[in-house]
Amino acid sequence: MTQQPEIVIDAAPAPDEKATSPFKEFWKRFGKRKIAVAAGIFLLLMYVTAFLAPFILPFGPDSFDYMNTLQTPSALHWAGTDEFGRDIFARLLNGAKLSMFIGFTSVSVGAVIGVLAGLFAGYYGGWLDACTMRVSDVLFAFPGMLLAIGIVAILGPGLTNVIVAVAIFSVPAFARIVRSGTLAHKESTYVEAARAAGASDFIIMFRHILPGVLGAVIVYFTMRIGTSIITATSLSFLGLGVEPSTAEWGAMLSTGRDYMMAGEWHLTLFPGLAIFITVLSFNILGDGLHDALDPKLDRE
Amino acid sequence: MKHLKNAVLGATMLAGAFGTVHAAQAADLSIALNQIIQGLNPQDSNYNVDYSVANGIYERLIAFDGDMKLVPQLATSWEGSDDAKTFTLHLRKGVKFQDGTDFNAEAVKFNLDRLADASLNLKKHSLFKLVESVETPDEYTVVIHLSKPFGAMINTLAHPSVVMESPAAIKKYGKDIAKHPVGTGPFKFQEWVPGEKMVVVKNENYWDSEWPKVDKVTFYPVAENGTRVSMLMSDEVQFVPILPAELMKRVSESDKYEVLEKPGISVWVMAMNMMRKEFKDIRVREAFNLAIDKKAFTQVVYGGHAIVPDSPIAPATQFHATQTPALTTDVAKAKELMKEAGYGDGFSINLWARNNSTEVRMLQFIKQQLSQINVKVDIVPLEGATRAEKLFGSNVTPENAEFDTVIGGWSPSTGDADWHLRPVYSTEGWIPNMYNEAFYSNPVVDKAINDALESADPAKRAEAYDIAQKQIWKDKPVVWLAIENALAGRKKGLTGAFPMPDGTMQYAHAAFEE
Repeated sequence: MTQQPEIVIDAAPAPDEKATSPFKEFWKRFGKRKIAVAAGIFLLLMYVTAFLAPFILPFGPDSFDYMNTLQTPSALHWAGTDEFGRDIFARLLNGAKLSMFIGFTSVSVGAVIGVLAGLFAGYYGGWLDACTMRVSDVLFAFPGMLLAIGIVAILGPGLTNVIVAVAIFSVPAFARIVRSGTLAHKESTYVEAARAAGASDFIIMFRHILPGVLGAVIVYFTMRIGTSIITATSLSFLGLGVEPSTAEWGAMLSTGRDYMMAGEWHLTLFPGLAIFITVLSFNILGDGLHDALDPKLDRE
Repeated sequence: MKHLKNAVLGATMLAGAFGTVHAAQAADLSIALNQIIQGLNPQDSNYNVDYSVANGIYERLIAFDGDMKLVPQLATSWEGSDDAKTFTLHLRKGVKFQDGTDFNAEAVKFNLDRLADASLNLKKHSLFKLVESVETPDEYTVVIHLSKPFGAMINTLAHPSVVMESPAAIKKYGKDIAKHPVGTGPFKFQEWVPGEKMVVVKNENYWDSEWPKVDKVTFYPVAENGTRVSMLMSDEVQFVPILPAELMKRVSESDKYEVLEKPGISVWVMAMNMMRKEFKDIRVREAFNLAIDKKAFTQVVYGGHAIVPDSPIAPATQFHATQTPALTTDVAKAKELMKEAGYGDGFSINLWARNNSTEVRMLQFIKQQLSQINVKVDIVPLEGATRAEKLFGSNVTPENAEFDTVIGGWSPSTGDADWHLRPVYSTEGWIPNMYNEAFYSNPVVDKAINDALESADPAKRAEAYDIAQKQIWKDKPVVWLAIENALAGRKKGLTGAFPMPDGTMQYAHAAFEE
């Protein structure tokens, strides 16, 4: 007898159909943030070009030419050539691909772990909450960059380890955001209703609470990609990241630095600009998403 | 700058007053070093930077001039017995240490006995293992007896670490002599703030009344290449003894500064670990040598300020003999040899080096070049101390060494072929003993190196070293990459401060011209 109401709850997909409307609303609101849209379009264009680069550019990122080293920008080499005669523009585009890969993978890994940890900690509370949050506090106590350097120092340099390092130091931030969101949603009437209707913890957490905190997670995710690109390029700049011959922005800056005093400005200017504009774009995009996703802003 | 101006002004006024004194005779000199000073006891140091600053405070029995030719310093003449086991030195008279102690045969014996004493664990003890006894027949004569013939003894005495330290000061300070150096040189130690600066001042009682001509020399350790050059251009320092090639143009463009360039004796090689089956095959080693474009290497890594080796040792090293055929680049032939050896599809290797920017550039260059013969290179830049530990750590054996190939430069600071061929190419030199990183072993080479040591006759030694060089050149245990030039930046008008071919520098005879 008592099982009957459960079926009613589960068979109520009505709210899901309305979900298309918040989505449309989001686009409407996001569209008003012109700078954020521009940043999004820039990033999209950059990555599309980066993926098409091998088919449209006459040079690969690693093709060397010792007869044409350290050339300043020209019609042939748009951003000049480096000390090995490699085309800097081709390397920049390859660096874009890499930065995207590192940024997305590391933040995704960090987000998944952080979201799960925060969700469980916030929902169950007690010792699980205490443990999770104390571990986060410990990780928070280190400045992000220092933590990443420490992790790479233990694991050794390399692309994979950079991703691991950046992922680890993204975890606590996601955990905190999701935990506080979970705490708030846990007390809401609809969760209480679901619980009263006999929904399992799993259903409550993932079906009722998680969608509520996802907005904040998406915003933070976007901004975090910017930060993680900076961290990854910094590690490479310090020689702790990718292998030095890799066409990666931080590594390019690092080797270009030797030639800065010698007047070869283009070796450092372009990778520096690439990092600057990309990270800025991610942050602006994140800001735009924040405004578009925050329901409170509507009433103001 | 202010000091300099005042000093110049003062000197000019003096010149005006007395008429005969050269203007700008007295002034202060500042030098920017590329590394931190580790200690001021060269006998217990492996660092060029320590030898460099010590060059003004201490003196050696025999020294090198700017072209690595032997010149008398505290010994005025010397001779070796035919069996290369007994060496006699005649000392300079009228020399005193800066603390007033007399410099005589006793003082020399005291220093040499210390170096030969294994229990003291001095870092440069290895150079003096063969010393059996030191005799002092009179106050200004020293006779060194060796347990085995060692034809390179005179050059070993000229190694920048073999300085004469005041016996009284050593007794007083013990190990702390590294913080309170007392020698016979033209400059007295004044102050050392580790990591920040070191100051030496004029030794008024120097035995050569002509020198020194500057009152004070200050050393600043500045690791960043660009900063050192900026300091030179802003007149904070007047001499930068180690100048990276890529910054040379900036110094030479200005008419107030000059670049000093000198052929060096550091030979850079990529050693191939011959414990690996691929590198046991001479065809593979030959292919590697053919695939890597040495001319391009000197351009890319040193901006052209280096030469392509024509022997395992540098032309400025004693007993160098030009080898044939000269190194060439022939990728097609290299591919063929690899195919013959059964590696037409190539193989993967790791390649180690230090993580400074010059060596990282070398790593990238070699990776690019070897990709032409399908060899996939995994480059491993290592922090200096880590590299030393993994290469020369006491637990390293030929079987467990982790590297396939490794980049390194070797400069024999004795200026003699022995201290290049023996540590780098002899069987007794296998790491971690010395520096034979290829685990190369050829009885012909070992015998020639030993034959050369058993004689003090230059003709006989030259003959033996010729055999060794020829055989090594044929066996190709390493890829010879480049011999870098010693480059330094200096303010125009400064003389007597210059870089040495072995990577150290001299400033004892520094002077400012008008």
